[in-house]
Amino acid sequence: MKDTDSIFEAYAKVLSGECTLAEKKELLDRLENDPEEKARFEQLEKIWHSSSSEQHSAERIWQLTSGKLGFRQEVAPPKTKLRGWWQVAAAAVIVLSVALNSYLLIDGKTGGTNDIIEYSAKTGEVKKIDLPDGSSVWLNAESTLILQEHFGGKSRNVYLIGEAYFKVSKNPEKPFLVNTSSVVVKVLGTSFGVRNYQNDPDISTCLVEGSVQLLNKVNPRNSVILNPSEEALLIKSNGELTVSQQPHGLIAPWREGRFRFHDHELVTITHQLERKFDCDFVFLDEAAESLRFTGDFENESLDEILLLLNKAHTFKLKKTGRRYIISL
Amino acid sequence: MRLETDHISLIGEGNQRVFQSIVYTYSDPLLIFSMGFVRKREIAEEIVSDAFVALWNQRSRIAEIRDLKSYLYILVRNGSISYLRKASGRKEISLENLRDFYTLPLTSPENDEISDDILEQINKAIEQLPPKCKMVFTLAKVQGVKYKEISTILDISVKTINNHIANALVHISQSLNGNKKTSGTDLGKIASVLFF
Repeated sequence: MKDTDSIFEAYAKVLSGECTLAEKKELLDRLENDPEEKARFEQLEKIWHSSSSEQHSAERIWQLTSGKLGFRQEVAPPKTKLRGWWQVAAAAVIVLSVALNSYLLIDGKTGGTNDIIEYSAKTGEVKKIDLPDGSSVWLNAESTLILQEHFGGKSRNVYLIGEAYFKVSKNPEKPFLVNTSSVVVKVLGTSFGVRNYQNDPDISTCLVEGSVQLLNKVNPRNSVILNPSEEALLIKSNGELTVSQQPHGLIAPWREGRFRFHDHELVTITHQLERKFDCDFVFLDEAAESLRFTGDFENESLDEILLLLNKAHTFKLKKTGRRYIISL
Repeated sequence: MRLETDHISLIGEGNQRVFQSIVYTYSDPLLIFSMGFVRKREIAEEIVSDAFVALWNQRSRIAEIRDLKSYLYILVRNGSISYLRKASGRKEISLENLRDFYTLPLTSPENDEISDDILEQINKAIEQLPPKCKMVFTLAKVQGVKYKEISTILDISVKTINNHIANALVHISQSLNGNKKTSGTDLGKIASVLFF
């Protein structure tokens, strides 16, 4: 009985995301040797990830609240469609809409519509978006772009979570600003790529032509201007910013379905694979996380890619369902 | 999810648009939480909007609120309990002696991995859990609230929260695999495990 209790306590911690890496590893190790227990955990995991019916109460509650407070009903409701807000990604989007709203306000609230639009690309998807000012944006998998419908105000503000490639139409009067959690990229008209996934430790900006200005929000004094074929990497935790020459030709190769990385850590590569193939990686050794690889793939399947990586550096790989467990 | 200090201070300055975004962000989860206590949607809607009204009216002191999300949950918790007191005429009702907590039934995920029969069994098992256990389960599983925040909202320790979740899982798992009917004594056992 005691034993059962302790394993369920471990399940609770892992499912609710409150466990440490070591605790997760301990549980997975234990389940590897106990198929019956493993089946039980997988069943609970499935149940944990099922959802409850949604409420869609926001509009009604806003009416009630603003009525009680005597607000004039002039503020249009945010247009974002949010499914299951408690899912992390969606939650982040809302915080960003809040942030964007305040940006727009600070920027000088001109008339016209203030509607907020949200574009998202799902797992394994790349989306091209044409913006009202003639600019184009390619959104990589699991990314979201939020902007104001008609780019009111003195600048063209967008908010990015995830990765995108921008081809911005020239308008010296109205700079184009890509806002992220730690950096703001300011351009007048040029092409560049930005990668800002939440589970990556850094934010990358790559320039194709023209020039961009990078405002460092973590460490404002450490801001830079980027020249063509340079990449700026900002470490989110300390605001450290480094600029280097891009070693390879095409920026944002994912636009053409290619999967390319140059001297990247395995943990970063698996994050990319998770977004492209809807799978899940667990590392049992920290040393395995920092193995480095260089590669260029085009139409290969997930298993083919993993096989080729494994040829370059040997690591142990175990597959259960959509989950891959990596150790040394 | 944490709101940046900037946005909180914008509400402090009376920015209705930022306030509206907060209402849109938290309406659904707060409504589900309040419905757990009062069951009726219209009443829960009133309680949740009252919480937002209270937040707006206190905006001059908003900078003192360290955790906006937990703060809103606590307003809704208090509003819901005080409604129950008024409605039943029983002044002794508190977080500790609730008769029940209503949970929204789980629905099958998109890929249909769980059959309707099983789903019904799971929902039944959840229904039978003690009220506080259901409350913690709803907050942690359905709404993804962090243990630390639940600890503030319900004034219980992180360890107790994990025990609640573990016991909910034990109960669900037993109802699916054990074949043995969960009897009153089982529930008593679970309840007694929960509170040390």
